[in-house]
Amino acid sequence: MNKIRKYFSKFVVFFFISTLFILTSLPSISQSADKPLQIDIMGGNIQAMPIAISYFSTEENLKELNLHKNIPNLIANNLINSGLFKLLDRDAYMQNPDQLNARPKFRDWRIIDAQALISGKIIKKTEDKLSVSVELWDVYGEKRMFGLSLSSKIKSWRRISHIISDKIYERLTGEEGYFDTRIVYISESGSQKNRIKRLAIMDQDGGNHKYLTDGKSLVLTPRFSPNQQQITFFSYNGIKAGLKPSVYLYNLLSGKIEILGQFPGMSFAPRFSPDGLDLVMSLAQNGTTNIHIMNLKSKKTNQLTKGRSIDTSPSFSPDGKKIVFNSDRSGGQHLYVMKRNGKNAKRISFGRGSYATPVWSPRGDYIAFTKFTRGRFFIGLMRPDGSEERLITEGYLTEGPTWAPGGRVLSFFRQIPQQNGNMKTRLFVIDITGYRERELNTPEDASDPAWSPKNIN
Amino acid sequence: MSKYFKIFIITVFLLNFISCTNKDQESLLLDAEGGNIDQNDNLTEEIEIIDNTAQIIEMDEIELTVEEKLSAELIDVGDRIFFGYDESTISDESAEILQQQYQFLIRNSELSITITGHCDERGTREYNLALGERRASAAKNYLISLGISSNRISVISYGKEKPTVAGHDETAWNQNRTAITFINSN
Repeated sequence: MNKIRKYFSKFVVFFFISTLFILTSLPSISQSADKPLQIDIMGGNIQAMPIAISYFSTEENLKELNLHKNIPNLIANNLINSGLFKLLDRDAYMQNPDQLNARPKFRDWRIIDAQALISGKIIKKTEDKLSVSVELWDVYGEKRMFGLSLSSKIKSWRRISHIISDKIYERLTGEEGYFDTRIVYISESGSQKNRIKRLAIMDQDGGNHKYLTDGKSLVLTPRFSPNQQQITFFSYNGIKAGLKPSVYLYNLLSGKIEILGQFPGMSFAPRFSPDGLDLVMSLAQNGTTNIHIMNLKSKKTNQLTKGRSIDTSPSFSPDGKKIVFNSDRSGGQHLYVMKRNGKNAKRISFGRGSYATPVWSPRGDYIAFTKFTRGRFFIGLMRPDGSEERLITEGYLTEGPTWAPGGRVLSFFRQIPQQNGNMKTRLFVIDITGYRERELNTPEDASDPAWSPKNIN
Repeated sequence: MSKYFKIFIITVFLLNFISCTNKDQESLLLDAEGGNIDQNDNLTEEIEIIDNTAQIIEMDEIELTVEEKLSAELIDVGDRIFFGYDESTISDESAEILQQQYQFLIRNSELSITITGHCDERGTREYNLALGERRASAAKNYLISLGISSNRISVISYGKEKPTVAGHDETAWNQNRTAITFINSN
């Protein structure tokens, strides 16, 4: 357990109150004799936990598929990308995958300082089906933390790997996993003046990348429905035929695209309610932008905000009772929280600069936003009452935070000025401590990411 | 413009071709606008395609369409107005341009227009869509106040999506905070 204490002692905490809290409670946490192996992701600058992920054992007739390596590699990739884990070099492993089918020799793994060990086995069930069983071991505690067996079509091996990654992450961090998820975003190409933008979707690790639109119409700001089978987005599709730029719905199963109502002005900034039954969006007309709510079944809309200001970027609280949005009603751009029926709007941001694109965390404890101040753009977080504001990353342009399931990790996009005067636009992932930021690989420039909810098995 | 340039080039090829078939002809040829074309322009490789392309040249393609003439006229009187950062107020300078647009719309009473609203890149996407709509609407409302019927004017906001000028500095941003008037085709 001394090893684990090391991780807690490296805490860098990011605000004053929690610093006090953790300092007072730290001794009791680390002295607890039977504390299970766990890494605390709320620590900022913590050292990554060294883990061993063995190749899996498999039957001879399955070896040509290479899944005994591909599956553990994909699991390792997910865990390393979280920034919380460090994969120990497989050349140093003293037990081979077949030997691990029995109980591991923990001493052999302590020599290389593995905190946790992951072993697994793949069995062919039918011609196109396989079964994958995985075990997670606490090396210093000499305990099996869990065992899991999944069976599925062979071609679904990536999803199997993501589901296993989630289970391991959840067991080792105590937080909800976010690996078995997808990201929908806008793929960008062409010159700055004549940008081609396409709706694209991929697994959170970049796998299974697919374009959903052909780039003929300008499309922006896609968002997932809670059942993840639908995407709402904003498009200029049909403006030549006299349609207003509008909010659309894309059905991922059928590939069908549907316009969501036709209004006297532009409809944009759509987001689903947590139950998926309603959609909030902005309608702009005659210089005024107000927030409306639409029932997706009846297509009936209700206006939620009134007045001459710009009210946009609405986002529901996870319980569906409140909506946070961005308004310039005070003169500057600030964040407001109102009830679902539009009543009781209260300003929650009071700092210098402009606040925009608020998004309520799926856990309900934070609101992420974009802030523009003194010529720079920031991604920030605050409590739903506006307290504890802090900025977690910045750049020439950083915009559009979106939450991964679990509410501990976010994605956003960033424009990076290049030597030749052009811009590179990319997706990034960061956690709420502001640490462990990394770029997400996309085939082209990318913006407006939206993280899917957890896949439903 | 590129269409006319192409036709111009084809015309040059054609003239060149004629000259090649008639070697005794003077070595200088006139182009469509009356300028001198040097015969040694090294265009001989292109001659093969001339038989095909020569037939599709139509004289009226060189002419501007009525719509294009009107668009050119609109650009002459001033097709766009500019805004301050995060603003949508019509400046005195913008008011003068809109008065010119008003005169133009009176002269061409059959025309309807679309005003597109634009923002610089120093704002978030959704807010800028709303701001672009506010700018285009400000221009629209000014024209209405002068007496243009509202059903002749549509607005579309592009937010920060379609900048006039590429670039990431104050000069580019100033150029990109606009409301631009276009003539609707029919």
